[in-house]
Amino acid sequence: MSNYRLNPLKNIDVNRNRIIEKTRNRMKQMEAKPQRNFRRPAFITILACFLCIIIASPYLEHTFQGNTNHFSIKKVVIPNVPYDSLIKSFYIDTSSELIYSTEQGIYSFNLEKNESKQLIDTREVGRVLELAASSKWLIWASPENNKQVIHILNRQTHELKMAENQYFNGLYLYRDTLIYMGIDQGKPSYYTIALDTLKENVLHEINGESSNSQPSIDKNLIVIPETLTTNHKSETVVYVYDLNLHKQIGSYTFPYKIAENILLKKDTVFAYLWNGKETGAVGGIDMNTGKLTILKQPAAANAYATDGTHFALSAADEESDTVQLFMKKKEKLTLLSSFPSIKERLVKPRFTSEGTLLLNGEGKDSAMYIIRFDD
Amino acid sequence: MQNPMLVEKAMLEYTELLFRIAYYYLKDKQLSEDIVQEVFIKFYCSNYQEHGELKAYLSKMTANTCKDYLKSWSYKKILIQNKLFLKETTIHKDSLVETDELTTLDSAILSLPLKQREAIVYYYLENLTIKEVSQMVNSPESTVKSRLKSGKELLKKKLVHEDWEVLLHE
Repeated sequence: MSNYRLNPLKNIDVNRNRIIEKTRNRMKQMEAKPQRNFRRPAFITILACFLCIIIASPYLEHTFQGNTNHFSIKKVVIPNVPYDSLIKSFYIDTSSELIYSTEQGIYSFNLEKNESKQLIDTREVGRVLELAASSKWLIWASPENNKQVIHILNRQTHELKMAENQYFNGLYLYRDTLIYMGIDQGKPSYYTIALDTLKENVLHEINGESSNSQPSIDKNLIVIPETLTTNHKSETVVYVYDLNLHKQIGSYTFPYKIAENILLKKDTVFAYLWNGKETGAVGGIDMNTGKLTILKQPAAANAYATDGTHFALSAADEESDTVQLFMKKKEKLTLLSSFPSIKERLVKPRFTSEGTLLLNGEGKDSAMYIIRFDD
Repeated sequence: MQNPMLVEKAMLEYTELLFRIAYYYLKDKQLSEDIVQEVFIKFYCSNYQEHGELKAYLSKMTANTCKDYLKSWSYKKILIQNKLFLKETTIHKDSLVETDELTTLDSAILSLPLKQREAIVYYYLENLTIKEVSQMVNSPESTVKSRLKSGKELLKKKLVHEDWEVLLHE
């Protein structure tokens, strides 16, 4: 081994000992976790199921048929693609394709032809970290001369343009407009670029401290979250902009320190809300009334996605978690399906703007599942 | 789950190496400690079976966990906070304090782009072979060689008035 060491790494015994001690403690806690007594709850559950079957037998056939006809599941396996590429992939409904990136390039997997096609070779720059696409545009950010540059490919004309600007992070597409966060002279703002002309405009100047979520787009609206602290109390404010008018049309406040995974769907701004200590919950502000509703959910969720009606929650499953499907009925989420036909753990739920649900499986084949709902 | 004795042995043997690997990516001691803990816990919970060198397995897991962290939204959030709200924030102070302590060569290495940085660090500082580096970073040996070359070129520019003897030998 070389004798040369970076200065801060010349004496790391303290760090080493701290890592070992903390890891030992965590291992002990894991070993000491009490074994659950499954007998009594299992007996009660079996008894309850038995009673339910007797009472509900005339309706069972209809209910199951309704559930199975409510959505369809398509399993997709893309061979030889690393799991960490698939977990960041996204689906485009209009062209039936999954877009993903690897160390080698950006790819499209066509579900109808069942084949992958390399769209861009990125071997020189490595994996691109930010990527957005539609059936018309492919946009990615990658370093050029120690600066992040936005690359804009028109997939129909094959014209490639580059926007050298104050890009910092995030790429969000709305029709022929790109939205991103840029920092100009230390001042962060969200910008728009008209992709045909490359004309840029400031959409929103960031004045808050930070944010725990990315913006979210639904139809012509975008919501941009910011955390603000007044009198030692933190809240999350979401600013709503009309992307056609390029104008702010409202703002709403989540009275929570942390609002994660903000999603705008069907005139409601949803978020996973908590104050840092307690268990969080999914809530939504109706933009027509301004009312915040915390949704009653049957289990603690680690992640969620929604199309406004259906909710895919990463719900606790013994010592792990897996995605289950729920339906919003008034202020409550009721279980629609726990996907019994899929045996492996499901993770990373996300909905497309057209309402298709995409899930990653953690089985040996790293399959992905595309779930389409009946109209 | 792994036998706790195996994890204990791995901790005593590899904690220092994994911590250094994490630091080369994250440039922050506190974050590097957290990442290495996560790696050992993942290893403890895994079904790892001896099919290669444990050192390489853990090193790769550390590198991948760091890369995932660098891509994550929470990292970007910290980056934004550090860039914009430096006066108000106290988190991750130690990396900022230590910046002063870094030598010119340290600063130059840590400011290289990620691809070149990992190649330079693994090859020159950890003395891995080109083949081992290529396995660590999941890239062909030719790519590693070209990253080493471009990394050295970048270092030359950064250290134009300095002695960079440590990087002269192949």
